[in-house]
Amino acid sequence: MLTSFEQIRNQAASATKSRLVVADAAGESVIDALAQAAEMGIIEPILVGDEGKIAPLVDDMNLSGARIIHETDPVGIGKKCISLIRDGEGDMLMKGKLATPILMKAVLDKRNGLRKGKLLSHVAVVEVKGYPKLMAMTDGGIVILPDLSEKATLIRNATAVANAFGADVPKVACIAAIEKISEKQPETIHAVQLVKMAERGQLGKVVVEGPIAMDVLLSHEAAKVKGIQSDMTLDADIVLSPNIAVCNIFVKGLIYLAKAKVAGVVMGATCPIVLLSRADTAEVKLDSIALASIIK
Amino acid sequence: MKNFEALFERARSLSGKKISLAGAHEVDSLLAVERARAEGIADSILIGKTENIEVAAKEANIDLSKYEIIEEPNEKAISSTAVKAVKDGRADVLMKGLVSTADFMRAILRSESGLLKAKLLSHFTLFEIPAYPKLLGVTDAAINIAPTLMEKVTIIDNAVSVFHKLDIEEPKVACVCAVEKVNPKMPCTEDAAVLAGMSRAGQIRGAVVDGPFGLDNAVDPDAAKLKKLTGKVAGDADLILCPDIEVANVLYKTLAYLGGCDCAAIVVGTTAPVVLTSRADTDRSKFASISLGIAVS
Repeated sequence: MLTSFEQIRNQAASATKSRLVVADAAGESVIDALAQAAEMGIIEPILVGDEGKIAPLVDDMNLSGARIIHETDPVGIGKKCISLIRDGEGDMLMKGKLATPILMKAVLDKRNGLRKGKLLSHVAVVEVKGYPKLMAMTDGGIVILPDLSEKATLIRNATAVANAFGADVPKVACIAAIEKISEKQPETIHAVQLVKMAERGQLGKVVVEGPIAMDVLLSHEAAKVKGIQSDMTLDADIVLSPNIAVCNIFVKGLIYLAKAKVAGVVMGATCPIVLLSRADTAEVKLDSIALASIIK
Repeated sequence: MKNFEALFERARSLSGKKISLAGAHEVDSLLAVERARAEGIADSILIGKTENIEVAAKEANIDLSKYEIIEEPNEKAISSTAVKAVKDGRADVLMKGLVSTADFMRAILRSESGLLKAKLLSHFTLFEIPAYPKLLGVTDAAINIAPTLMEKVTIIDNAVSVFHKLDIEEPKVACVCAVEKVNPKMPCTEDAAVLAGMSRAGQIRGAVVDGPFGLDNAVDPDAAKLKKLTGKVAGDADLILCPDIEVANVLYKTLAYLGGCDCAAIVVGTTAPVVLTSRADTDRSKFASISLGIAVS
């Protein structure tokens, strides 16, 4: 069972190198992260973009073993990346400097894209002091206000991430403000419905509990005081958030107030997609690449 | 409770109970309460115009000297007079005779003088089914048309109180739909999952509620096993909560008309049970309804 990013990096380094297709790598911080990942033996980069701009950066940053595919048109870069994955020449995709909407349009193209399930979703993996496991939180990045079916898909998408950590039957906590089921708090309604869906085998190999409040999830003490016996307390692998805001704010709170380490990956396509923000540190970038590379 | 004999026995054991019969000037109703009297279940107070009651009694060949009559010459007021008899503690069960259903229900629902206890009234039927090892409850086949989630909670509570009166302490309630999987295109499966969650969270007390179930895996242990459904309720339900009136009504009539089953039906959610028999009921069903009313009064 992987419980830290150090272990994720080690596992990624010891496994067969993943061929990472990068959509427009003409940026210093992008090439820097790739150079580190390549040096650790995690990836074999395939850089799609303007060769005239990329090649000098590759030299400057000592990125070895990179294959460069020349393409200057943004839409063309997106399409080329997708066809490399579809043709089996690449294992996973990463957004470089290409605009997100252009890349996503190529990914979501009904005929020539990378669609697998019904929905792409974002999974943030958190390593934080006080929680003994890696926590896969979803969705703080893509799906704004998921309905019940969409939440079922979010759980399925996150399951592949938890499986990569060695959680064969991931424990999924559907968080809410309280444990009481009330129509006035629709997330509590969704939570019990997801519990039943899991019980009926509709969500694959997972155990789902909810609604569960964050204190019960994070503290045996709080659970005890509230008289709640939960298998999820300090042991959930996946945390399903009611909406994008809760997840986004929670993860950023952990990063900035609790010094948590975080990596992110987009799931639901035929391969994991690394989609980083400019504000992400080099560490986050490296960890996200390592994370994507261990997902089957 | 395995069969109606046990129900009759229970009703007989509670002595001194009385029925308030609203609109006693009807042969069918008089015959039903006469049987209840003769078999030691309960005596009745007959409400209506004495003159008319006497005509019906003569036709039914019933000796009225064994009955108390409350004279109510105003036909529109019969139901409220009958309700008052219950409210005043003179009778334990209200029964509908020859009065309009609308007047009868209005009298029950009147806020000051009525009998409403719960948030809503619901209809409860108990079936004696030869192929099932115990009596099986069905709700709601007659009153609530398309209950919301919270109305379903009250309908369950109302029915559960009947089981408690029959000493079935933790009835198994199956929320039945077309399938046992949760499917957002079938809202009743979503409600069922929530009701199951509320039961697990202790928000529905005195019963164990589960669902969604198909009817097969709610009442047949083998069907439940085949679908790998676990839990106390699967294959062993005491009560079937139907998603709406159509399903409940068709289930009711299927069991009664194609299955040849007798049933006992009462209105619950009131301070005293209300017996509402239909002329189409078998004599045994009428007797069972009165017995159920007395047994839970």
